[in-house]
This record gives sequence, C-alpha cells and structure tokens, in this order.
Amino acid sequence: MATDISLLLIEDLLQILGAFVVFSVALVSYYGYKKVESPTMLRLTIAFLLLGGGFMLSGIIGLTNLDLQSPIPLWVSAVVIGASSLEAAGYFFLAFSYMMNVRGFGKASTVPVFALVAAVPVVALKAIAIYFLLYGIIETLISYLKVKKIETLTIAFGLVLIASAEFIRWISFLYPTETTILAASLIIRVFGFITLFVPVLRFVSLRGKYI
Amino acid sequence: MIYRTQVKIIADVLYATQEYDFDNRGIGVTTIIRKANLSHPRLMKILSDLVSSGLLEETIKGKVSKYKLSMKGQHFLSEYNRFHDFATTFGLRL
Repeated sequence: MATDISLLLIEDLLQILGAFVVFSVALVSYYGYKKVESPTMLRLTIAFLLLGGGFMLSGIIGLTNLDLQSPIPLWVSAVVIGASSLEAAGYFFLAFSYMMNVRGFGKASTVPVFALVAAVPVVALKAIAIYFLLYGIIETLISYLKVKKIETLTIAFGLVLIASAEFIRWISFLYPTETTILAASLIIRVFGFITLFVPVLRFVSLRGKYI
Repeated sequence: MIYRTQVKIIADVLYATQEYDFDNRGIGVTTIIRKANLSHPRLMKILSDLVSSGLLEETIKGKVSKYKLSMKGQHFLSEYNRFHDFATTFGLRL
C-alpha cells in the first residue's frame, strides 16, 4: 500500500503528464489556427493552453510542497487557486467553442458565462469546470449523432472520463484525508486525456509532412 | 440557423474555383456566385482579398475577369481539409 506522500507524488507527476498531453493538442490547434486562421482553432488553442497551464502549475506546486503541513502558506493557496482558475477558464473556452459552433454567433448561450461570476474558491472552480465539461460532452455527443465519426465519440468518451475525474476530485474536498480518492480522480483524468489524445495522434504524426 | 464562418466561405470560394475550372483557364464570377452561394458585392470583396493574398490568380480579358486557384490556394485548401477533419473530430466546425 502506497503512503500518502507517494500517492501525492504520483498525483503530481500525472498532473504534469496530463499537461504535456493537453499542450500537444494545443500545439496542433495552434498550427491549425496559423494555417487557416480559424477562430475555432484559436479557441481550442487557448482552451488547451489554459488547461495545460493549470495542470502544470498544480503538478509543480504539488511536487515542490509535498511535505508541507497545515497551515499551508498563503502563496501556495494562491497558486492552487490560480491553477484551478486556469483549468476552469480552459474548460470554459472548450465549452465556448461549442457554444459558438452550435448556436451561431448571435445566439450563444449565456448560461456558462453567467456561472463564471461565482468562481472564487477552488471548490467553486471545480464545480464550474464540471459544468463546462458536461456542456462540452452534450455538444460533442450531439455532433457525433450528426457526423457519425468514431473519433468524435472517442473525444466525447474522453470528456466523460475527465468530467468523472473532476467530479471525484470535487468529492475529495469533502474527504481531504482520503488521498486515494484524489489519486483515483487523477488516474481517471489522465485516461481521459489519453482518450482525448488518441484521435489527435494522427494529426500529430502528419505534422512533419505539412509544417 | 447555423451560419457559415468566414473561413468556410473562403474555402467554398476556393473549392468552386478548383472544382469548376474544367479548362484550367479559370472561372467567372457568375459561376462562383452560384457555387459558393454568395451575393455579388460580398463575393467581389472576398475575391479582391483572395487575389491580394495570393490564394487566387486573376486574369482579365477585355471586361471579363477569370479566377484560378494558385499553388498557395491549393495548399490552403489541403490545410483546410486537414484541420476541418481535426475540428470535426472535436465535434466543431472551422
């Protein structure tokens, strides 16, 4: 049985691994934006950059403060909230991409925007992240019904895994001593990002040919 | 109603010039209007932008202008297809 410290170490390392996965999706999106100047590609780039930044920050702050006892210094709390804000903003941009695509420019839903107002503490940010993710899942599934592409279904499944992980992580705030809940949420999230990354892989492999 | 994005409109114009240029001497404005489903004033603005950015080549014979897809335009279309596929994978439109 792993100790709490080693679980936290695994959690932080997985955060950093997740950050690299997400950054690679951001990179492909950025190439897409550079080549065709599509706002959709820009929104995806921003979304995945913010998500990657959030994961990276969480991972680094976790790795450098593994042995910290309560009370946690103010700057660490500030960085954790900052990382959570980046993640929530990333999920917001992901949801925003769907809003812009599905509703048309004049009819973008204001509901996810409204939810941002309440975003201050980490728990609220996690709840908002789940909210945006659920929106993204629904829109991706609707898109799958239209285009019937297995890759779209894979992305939706990846988002479901990420949302589940976020939900479990949210629960973990209720049980702060149960690090296994945290670890489980992170492992599910990494699987989620790998699932999200699989359809993107073929675009990464084509990179050398075009760029 | 789902609107076409500017990128999609540009791609539609480029597709039209590629698909209906049967004699490789370019196609006229009327054909592009019909195939890309655009109004004349809007198309003229887009054509002007596409010619100045090098995606289309314009040849003028008398009062008639013809438009032909350039190498840069072909490259743009192949990139568009590629990233259209990428966006569709995420359930999005370019």
